[in-house]
Amino acid sequence: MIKDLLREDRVVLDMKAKTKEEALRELVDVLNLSEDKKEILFKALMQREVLGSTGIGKGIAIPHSRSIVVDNITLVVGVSKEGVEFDSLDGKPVHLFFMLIATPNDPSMKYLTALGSIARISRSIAHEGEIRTDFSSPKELIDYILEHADEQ
Amino acid sequence: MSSREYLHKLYLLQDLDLLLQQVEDPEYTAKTGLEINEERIELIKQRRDELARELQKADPITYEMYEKLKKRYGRGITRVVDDMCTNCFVALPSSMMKTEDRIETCPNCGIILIWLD
Repeated sequence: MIKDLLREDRVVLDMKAKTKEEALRELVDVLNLSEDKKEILFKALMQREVLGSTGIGKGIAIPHSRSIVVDNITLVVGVSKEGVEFDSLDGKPVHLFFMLIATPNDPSMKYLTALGSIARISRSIAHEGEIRTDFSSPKELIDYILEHADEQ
Repeated sequence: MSSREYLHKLYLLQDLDLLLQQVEDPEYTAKTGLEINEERIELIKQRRDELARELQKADPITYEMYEKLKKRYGRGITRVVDDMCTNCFVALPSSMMKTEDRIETCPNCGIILIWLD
């Protein structure tokens, strides 16, 4: 399932963001939405962050939300070489982002299953120690993620 | 409050409802391992209730419709995509035009419709 969600045109290899707000906006920008839709999605993602950071620690964050602005369940992956302050559980900057957006009427099981898969992939990547940020192409990043999906 | 502003606030309300629905689902924490700050759930609920009161005061009929639809479908407002309601996936009559000047509902399922560019 994660394989189906990973798309080369939904990858940011060298994020410029320094803060949580900038990071979420940079990831949302990838979706080529109108300004209205971007703002709606950004607000929904920020509301979720109010309940506790989706920075799960070890340099990884999984911002997510249901939102009216997408037509299908959508994943954007971002890499930050310098790292972004994201109020993560362990206080460390985030280098790898998985932003998952589902439609309001997406079956709960599909959305939660995708979120669960991403959480497991994240833990597998974190388990290796330092997160790679030196990807030369979106395909290389996607392959790296899928290698960790295969390990489960 | 204009219809456009009302509709925009209504789907902000729906986003808050969806967020609360999500984090209160036991499967959510079980599958993701993400921790939720319980005190902040109350903060989101307060925001939600303030917004709901504002919408109820501005247009009680539409607000009550939203609440009834939410009970029935899990959501009260949906987008129109390619002239189709994205709740029931039935094509809308060609006479229905994109508008934010008034509140429109799907003739098939009754959900509140929004056209977003």
